Amino acid sequence: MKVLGKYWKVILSVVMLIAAVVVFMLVYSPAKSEYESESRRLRQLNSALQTSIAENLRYADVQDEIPVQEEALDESRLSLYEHFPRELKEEDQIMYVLYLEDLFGTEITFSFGSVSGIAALSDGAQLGALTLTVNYETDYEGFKDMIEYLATDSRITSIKYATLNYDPSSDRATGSLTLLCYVLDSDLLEYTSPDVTQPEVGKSGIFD
Amino acid sequence: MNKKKLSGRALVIELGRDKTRVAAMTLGSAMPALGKTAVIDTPAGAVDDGAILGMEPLREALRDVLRDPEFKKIRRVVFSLCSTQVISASATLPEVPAKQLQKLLESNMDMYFPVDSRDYHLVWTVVGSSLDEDEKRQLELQLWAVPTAVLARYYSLANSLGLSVAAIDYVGASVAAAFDATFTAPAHRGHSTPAKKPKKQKKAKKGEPEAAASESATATAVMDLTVTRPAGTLCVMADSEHLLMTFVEDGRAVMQRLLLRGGDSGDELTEAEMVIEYYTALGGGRDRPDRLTVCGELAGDEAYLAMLESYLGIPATVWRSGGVSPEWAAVVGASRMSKDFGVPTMDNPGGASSQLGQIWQYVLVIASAAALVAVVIITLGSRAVWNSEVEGLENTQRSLQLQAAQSNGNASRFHEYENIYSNYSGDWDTLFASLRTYNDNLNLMLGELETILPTTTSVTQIGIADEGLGLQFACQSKEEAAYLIIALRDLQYATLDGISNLTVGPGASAQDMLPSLSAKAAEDAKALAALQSAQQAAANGQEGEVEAPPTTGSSGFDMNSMMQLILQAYSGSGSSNYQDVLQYALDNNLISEDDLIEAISNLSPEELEALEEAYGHPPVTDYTYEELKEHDPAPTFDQRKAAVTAMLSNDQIAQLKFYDLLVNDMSRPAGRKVLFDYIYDDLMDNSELLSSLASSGSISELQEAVPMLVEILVKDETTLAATEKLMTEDETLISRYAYYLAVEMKLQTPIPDVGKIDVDKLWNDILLSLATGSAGGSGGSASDDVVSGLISDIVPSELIDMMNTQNGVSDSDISDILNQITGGQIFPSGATGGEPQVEQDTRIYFSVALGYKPALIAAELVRKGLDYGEKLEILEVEP
Repeated sequence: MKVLGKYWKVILSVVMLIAAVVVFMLVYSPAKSEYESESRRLRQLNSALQTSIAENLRYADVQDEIPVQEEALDESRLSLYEHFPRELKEEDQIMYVLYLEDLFGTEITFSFGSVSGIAALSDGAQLGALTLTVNYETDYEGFKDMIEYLATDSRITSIKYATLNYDPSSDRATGSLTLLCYVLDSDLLEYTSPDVTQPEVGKSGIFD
Repeated sequence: MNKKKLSGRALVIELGRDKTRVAAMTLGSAMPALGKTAVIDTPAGAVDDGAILGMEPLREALRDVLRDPEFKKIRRVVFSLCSTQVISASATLPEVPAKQLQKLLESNMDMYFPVDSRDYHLVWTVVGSSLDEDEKRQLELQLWAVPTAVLARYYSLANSLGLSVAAIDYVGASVAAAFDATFTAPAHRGHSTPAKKPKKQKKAKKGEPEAAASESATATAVMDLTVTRPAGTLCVMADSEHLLMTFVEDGRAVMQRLLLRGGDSGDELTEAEMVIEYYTALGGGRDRPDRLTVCGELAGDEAYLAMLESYLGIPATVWRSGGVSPEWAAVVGASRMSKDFGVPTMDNPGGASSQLGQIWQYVLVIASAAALVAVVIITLGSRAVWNSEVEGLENTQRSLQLQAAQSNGNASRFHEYENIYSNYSGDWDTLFASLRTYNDNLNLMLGELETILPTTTSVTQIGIADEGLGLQFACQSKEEAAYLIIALRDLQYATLDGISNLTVGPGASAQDMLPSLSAKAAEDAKALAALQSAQQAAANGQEGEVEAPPTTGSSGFDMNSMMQLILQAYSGSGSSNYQDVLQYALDNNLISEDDLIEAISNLSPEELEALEEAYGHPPVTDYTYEELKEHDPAPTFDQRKAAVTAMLSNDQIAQLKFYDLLVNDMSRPAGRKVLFDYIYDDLMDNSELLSSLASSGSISELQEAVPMLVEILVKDETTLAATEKLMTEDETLISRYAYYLAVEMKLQTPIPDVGKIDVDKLWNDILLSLATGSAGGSGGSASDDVVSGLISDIVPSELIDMMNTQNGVSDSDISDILNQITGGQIFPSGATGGEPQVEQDTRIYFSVALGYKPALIAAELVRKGLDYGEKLEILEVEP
């Protein structure tokens, strides 16, 4: 008790300091953390709201134009697709080769090609190419005509590979031609069968 | 009146002129006991008649004593002041309250003591009371005046030693306490009758204190109580400086007298006798004390006691209390003191540092309080501010949410549109990037070429691929070729991307200038060859012939691989000439030296020996094995061991021959084995080696097993001797061993590269034979067969056939062979005719690659309705 009486000021000081620390640690610090957390959350939320409001206001003036633009995009896409056939079936290939034979004035040997994919578009359409290899023998002018035809024909066709060996003595160019006929398999397009001249039909027996 | 009841431990110090006594004691104890004690000689002149004159030496002397641990832990001190400067008086005053009495005495101190009251400290005590004539109570007081200067020195001394002064006791009080006497009248005598009181007392009672004071004794340290009492006890404390006489009656100290000694003993005793007479005279018939008790330093002096008894006529006894010596009587009494003769306010044990400490403590208290208050205020204030801010943010949030709800959906609707447009745009880009329609560009290129080509230059080959247009030109001269290249650099519809070297006659083909076309041609040829091979196999099957696989010779090459080789060579060299095909095959490692090394590793020991004769360095020596065995000195174990190791490690022929011998030995009946029985256990311990030996047919496997096998063979004399014995079964092998042994015995000069085949030399000979069509190498006839076999191993038989029939065989013949193989589709008619070329084509050939113009590709698409410019733009929004 005597020590207590003698050092009461020191003891009181220590007690008050401890009380100050306790108040700081148990009351002030948690409250500050809670405030900072809540404040940060609210500021972030407000910032996000402000951004959202600003963005929505930014696009307010074009809202009426969006449906028109979307319709225009659909039309533009369709007009682009319409330059391609949806399919090149075997009958299409035959008719195409017949056309080439007529153009080149020679008989073309070929085998049916199959479509290989080139690119997939966002609406599910598939851009592909049918590879059609033909062996030919023609003169130089015929070779030029063939290329010119490919350049001017509305069908989008490209020469993948071509070889030509020219014999000046006979003015004959022989070689092979690998054509790429582009097709676009899309739901926006409809397949149309080739226009084939119908022969006379009707027989009493199929073996006759 | 300064009463004080002390307790606890304290030092009790009695300062004398000659001796200073220090004792650790418990204060206030009814039965005081001395603790640790010390008696030191007081520094000369430091103390005189109780007054401290030499502070510094006295402090140093005490400091030494107080270093004792028993003293050091006690920080309080009680002094017993023995000084004749302390004067006493008695007085009688009307009864008043104690506080008023203190003031009354202090204000009238000069009436009781003929001294300057400012220099003295007044100490008083009520010793009794009585009734005056008016029956009013009178207080009987005992007064002491203590010089403050003396007291101050005591406090200063204690404080300078770091001690706190608990009390300063006057020696008279100390001795009285030691004798269990008090100054207070016993209770049964507390009310004296007025008749017994002297008239002097009455005067005082009548309001004449001056008279009362004048009657009080002014002698030094005299207590004079005029109450008649029976004879009592005379208590004497005698030391070298003082003689204190205390008359005790019925436990009450009724009179005290402190005398200074220093003269003749007889004088002081005479003076003591006079004091006794005075005591008896004052008592009004009081008897002389009939007992004498002596304490103090001289109590132990028998002569002094005898003299005291003689002078005073009273038998003397020495003070004893609980075994304490008489010289400690004042100390013991001081420990029991009940009255502080000092001035507590003079006590300042800590001095300035203590005050400073106090200040700091208060500062600390204030600071702590401030901190606590600050924390509380900050906490409360902050919470208020924070709550306000959070509330503000929440209000803002509600407001923003309201605004957001009003404009909600605009952005998402636009982003949806943006996504649609992004897909649309991406599809346009993908589509246009995938389309390469350079037909129009080709047409324009051809037209432009027609205008720039010299009349004597012609295009002999054309190749078309994604990269561009490949052209092979045949010019009449190099200058014409230069002109054409210059013209090609300035084409309007093409870019010149590559030029081949100039050749006389056909060189690089047009397709060679276009990598994708060249690769496709190779693939086509490969596919065609596979098709032909399948057709050939089918044809063979139809004929019902059972044929071996289409391989010829021992090379493992079949017709297909031969065709591949020729096709590759033809594709690369552009020629079907045998030499060109061969050169191409060599240049491209289709036939290589590695093939030769592999073929050599498959040769038998005999074939190797034959080859060694022509292309190697056989181990030959003039010594035979038998001669070496009989040689003086005979070969040592180490030499034989080294010879076996060197031979079997490096000599392939020796390895194969020894392997044959060992295998043969393994198959012999039990008891007839030359070596195997001795190495059986070691081989069994090494199953991997045993397995290799049992199954090994290839030299590579055998060579891998050699190090472990040699280690077993040369393990000791027994195995080594058995090895040598086994080797003697093959004459060739033992002669080779003789060479290695002679080398180890320093009887034979080592032959460089012994046992090795000069593969480079052999390879050059084979190439020469392939080029010239000769059948063998440069060696003798024995090796020719081996070389021929090696050629058969590494070169396809078809090529060998071509080589053997080279004389008279033309390119057209080879072309016929190839056309026969490929069905006539490799060499288009016209390119390589069936007839030998009559005229050599000496025109300058070169090929170029012309690149397309991207703008023309886009233009063609536009013409076909695919205009990238028609792609819609995205809806613009202001930022």
